Amino acid sequence: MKSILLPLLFCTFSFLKGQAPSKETINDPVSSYDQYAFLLERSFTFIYKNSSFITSLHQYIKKQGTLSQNESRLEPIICHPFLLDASKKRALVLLLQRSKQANGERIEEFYLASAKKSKKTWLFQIADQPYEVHYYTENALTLPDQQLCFRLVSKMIEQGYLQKASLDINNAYFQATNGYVFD
Amino acid sequence: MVGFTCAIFGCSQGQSNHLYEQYTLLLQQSQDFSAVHPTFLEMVTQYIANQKDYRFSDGRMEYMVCQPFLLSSQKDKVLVMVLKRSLDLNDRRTEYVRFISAQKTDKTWKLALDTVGTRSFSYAYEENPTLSDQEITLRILRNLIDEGYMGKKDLKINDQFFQTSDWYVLK
Repeated sequence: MKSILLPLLFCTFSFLKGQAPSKETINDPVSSYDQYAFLLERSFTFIYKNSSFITSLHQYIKKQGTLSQNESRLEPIICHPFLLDASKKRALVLLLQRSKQANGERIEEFYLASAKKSKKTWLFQIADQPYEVHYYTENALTLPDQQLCFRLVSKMIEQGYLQKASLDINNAYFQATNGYVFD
Repeated sequence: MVGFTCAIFGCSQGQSNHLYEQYTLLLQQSQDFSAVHPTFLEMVTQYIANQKDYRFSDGRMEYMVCQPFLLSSQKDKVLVMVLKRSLDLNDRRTEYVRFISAQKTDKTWKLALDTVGTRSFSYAYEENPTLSDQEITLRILRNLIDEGYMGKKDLKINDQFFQTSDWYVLK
């Protein structure tokens, strides 16, 4: 009995050594909520270290004028999480414009701002057309930006911003997506 | 804005960066809760519409029922954050968050608005960008965790919070 068990234990041990259990693969698969938490933390850490980023972006939004406040229900909102590349030199930022249609119905428009670090400053560009638009059925409750962003970020993750079921950022996403205008 | 963001980050540093995990766990629980209780949100909305002690509808945009809901571990008590974006007397932007307490009874939910307590956010400078709902709720969640809703370094809900907190009014 011992002669069978010992090689078996040894084989099991060798297998485990070769494939050390990681959070992402065996015990605790990475969910979309894990990915969202990871991106939020990264986004706020980034702002902490790049304190002028939001101020610069906000000034750019006002100066550039795509997000007009004329038909809007609220001032433009700079949403988190920012989608940063691995080296934090490129970013895609979701900007929410809560507007009204011509018939008075509520509409939520997301614009994408591309950001690229250039020596000591940041270059920004905002797409002319909304990246995504959310419509409401009559009497539906207005959705918080958290819910809207979660859906949209999950979609961008699926399109390749993060590796599937992992926390690895895919830098190639910035070349592949139409949303990012620099490079 | 920057100060606010740093406050979120600073707090998360103090909590070993569990804040975001706690936040997304609660988001997930809220989504699951809404799926199991599809009428809950509707009842909260009706309650707000019939509310006479406080007007939610005179903000600078529609009010917002925010997520995550703060649920007890049995999911029979809930604290709901409702955001009203408004203007102060000087026409400066101010954001108010009011709490609605919910308690499950036999077949329905009992709801009560905290008519006294409110959390408010104002902007130091006119040129500060408007905060997202998410940043506001993250900030409040951080305070509620400090006040004992969850352990600072774990994902466990502390049910005692519903007895001790002034924000939950159905005791």
